[in-house]
Amino acid sequence: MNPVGKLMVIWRLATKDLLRAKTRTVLTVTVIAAATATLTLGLALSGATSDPYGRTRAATAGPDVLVQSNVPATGKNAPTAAPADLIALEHAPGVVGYSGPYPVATPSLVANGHAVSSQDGGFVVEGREQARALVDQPKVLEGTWVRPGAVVIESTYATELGVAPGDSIMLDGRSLRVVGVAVTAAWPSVNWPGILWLTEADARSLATPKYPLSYLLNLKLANPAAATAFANAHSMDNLSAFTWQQISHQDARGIELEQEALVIGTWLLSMLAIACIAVLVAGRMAEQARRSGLLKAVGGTPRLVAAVLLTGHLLVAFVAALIGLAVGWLVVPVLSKPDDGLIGSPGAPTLSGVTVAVVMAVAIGIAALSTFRPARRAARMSTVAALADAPRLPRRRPVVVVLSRWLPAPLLLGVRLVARRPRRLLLAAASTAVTVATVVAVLAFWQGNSVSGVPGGLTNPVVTAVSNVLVVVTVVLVILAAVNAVFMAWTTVLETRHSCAVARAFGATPEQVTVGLSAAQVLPAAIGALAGVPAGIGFYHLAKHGGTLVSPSVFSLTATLVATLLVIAALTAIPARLGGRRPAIEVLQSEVA
Amino acid sequence: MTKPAGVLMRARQLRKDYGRGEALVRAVDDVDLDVANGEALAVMGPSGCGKSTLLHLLGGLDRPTSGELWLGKRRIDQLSERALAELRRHDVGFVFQAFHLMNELTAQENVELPALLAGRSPRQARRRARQLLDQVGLADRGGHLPSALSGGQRQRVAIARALVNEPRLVLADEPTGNLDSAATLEVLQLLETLHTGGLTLVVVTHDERIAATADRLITMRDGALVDETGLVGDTTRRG
Repeated sequence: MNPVGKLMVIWRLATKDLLRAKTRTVLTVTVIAAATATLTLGLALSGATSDPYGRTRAATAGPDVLVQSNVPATGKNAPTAAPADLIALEHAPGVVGYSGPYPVATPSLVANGHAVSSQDGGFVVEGREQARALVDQPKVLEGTWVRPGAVVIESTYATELGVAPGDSIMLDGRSLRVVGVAVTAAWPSVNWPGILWLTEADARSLATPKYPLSYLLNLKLANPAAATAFANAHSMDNLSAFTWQQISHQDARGIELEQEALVIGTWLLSMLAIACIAVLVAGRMAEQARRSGLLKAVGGTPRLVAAVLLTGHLLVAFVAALIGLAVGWLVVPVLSKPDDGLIGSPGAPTLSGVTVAVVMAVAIGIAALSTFRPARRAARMSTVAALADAPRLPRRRPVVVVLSRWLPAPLLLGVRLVARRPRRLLLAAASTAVTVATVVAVLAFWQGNSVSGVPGGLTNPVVTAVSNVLVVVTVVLVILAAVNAVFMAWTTVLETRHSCAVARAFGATPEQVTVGLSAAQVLPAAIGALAGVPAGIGFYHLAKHGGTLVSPSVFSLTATLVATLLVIAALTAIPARLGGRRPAIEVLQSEVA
Repeated sequence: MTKPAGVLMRARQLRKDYGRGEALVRAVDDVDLDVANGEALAVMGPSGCGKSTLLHLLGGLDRPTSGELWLGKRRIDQLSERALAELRRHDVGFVFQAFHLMNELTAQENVELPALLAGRSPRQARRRARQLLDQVGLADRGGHLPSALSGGQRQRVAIARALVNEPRLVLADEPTGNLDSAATLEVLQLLETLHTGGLTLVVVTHDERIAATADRLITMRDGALVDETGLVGDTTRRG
């Protein structure tokens, strides 16, 4: 056969085969597309963290170093002026500009039904001049800048509070009108206390002997890259210095966490996708042994048989990777949208050649890895055996046979039939373990963040964003795991059809076969689910880089385990039931036809 | 309707159709048949004449399109799938041309399986399986996998399996169809011995040697009974 003719035959057979089994093809595309879309998101987000802070820093003349005096001793004699050490930094070597020191008050706040105490770290109030500052002039996004009796709120904190220009808030019982919403590069906008700006006079009026003022000084350096060295050189007992790099890192942390969640999710999804497709292909082989035999009988070489199988799956992987890239490209702007405290949006990131290549490679890798063994087996199978549709002989498990004698008839059948494919059992257990671990990790994340919380019952925007990403990843994982369970059950049904038919010929009812097959698949799933609980808790512990071990409540863990096993029992029962509807004699006759 | 004494299985106007319209195939066409207790009945006919289908109907492996089927005093053509399974478990044993042994189970485990499905204890099932393997001359082959047995030995294991729950009726579909002459002889002798012991047997076969050992021979063509010969005792003709 000439090469063109050969390629044409391979193409024709592969595409016809894919079109013939449309449902299976669509499911395979879905599985790989889910994994590649998540991978695209993870890769694209990695380049989306620095620009918003950079733009904000440029637009607000952000400081290179922010120095804050520690809160002085309280009482009647508490100092009211900025400490001399702080003022001396205005002219320290390397400083080319400054603004401040600005007074910082710590009153209590009531806004939009939220009561927040700044002493708990919920927010601070900074007094500012009405004129434009040389360093750190917050950029007003809505409304106007500070004026007497009016307050401007940092944008992220305004969103958390649910207030906008025109609303009123109370500071230490005093009503103030919100006149503006602004952003700054001098104060982290996430995982940090909120910031409100008043005039200096209004801020000073909030000081009390119990809660005296502290001060903030913004410094511009001749060499911004030397900010860390400057901060280290001038750190003192009564002053805390923050560099622009630290603030940038804190602001980027939100997206970094999302990215970490997505990257881990991608790995989990890829593993499930490989398991899923391996089972799919195995099921396909169970259905198509005779087809491979026919190919060989009419002159197809073992290589041709393997090539047809591989081509079909690589084609599916290619299409799925394109879909995954498109979905990822569309979703990235939603997930990478910077929080309200930064200017601009990274927009739809252009998919770099590297991203496209990595996603394609992963998709094709998944397909190739899961198809290679079955394709090689089909190629090596004897033509006569393949034509006779002879099933791959299962390995004998004497221990299983002996122990199962003591089980009720359905379990006896189920255990013996399912135990013939230990690798598939392992895949089923691993698939359940990965899914349960993810669900438990998400529960632990919620538990951990509901315990730590944010002062005033507000919602942490980073927690919300990461939570959304985790929910998306978990939902996709659960769907994949469900598809996996159905495929595994269906493949088991196909491979055990002869044994089931023999058992039914000798008196096993379809119900016994269904219950047996389903129950036998729930057993490894139960082991996987139990293993998933500590794995999920450990997974979350690692993801948050240590600290206190957080475990979801016993109720939620029990509910997760019970729900998982019930769903798996139902999902495996459906293919077993459908397989049991085919008359036993029809199966037995087809085996000898 | 009552069943005549001594008749174990009775079929009336038994019909089995496949397909519909122009594609309709009548595999079994209005068959009337009685099988007496302890009788050995051979069914012969050309390939595709409906012999195997008739056998599957008699054993509850398939359902008739119409007609009546009685096993003892029980009408079985309208039983649920579950009830048919119980019938196959306790009252009927099958022997197939292709043996249909489970490849991963030893000879003894294959024989035990229907007993375990029927709810016997593992000990009882084991004892009964050993006894039957001994009876079919395979006492020393119980631990062998089917792949380690000859065709004749596999079929003898299959016969032992068919007998494990002491069925009232054994149905054999071309039991020697896949065997060489020597193995055919082994199986033939075994079936004869079982029949002599009082077993009711219906055998679908192309092999005249098997037919010759039966009490009665019926011949089918195009789904219908066309000839009936009493090989032992009375002889009647039909069609």
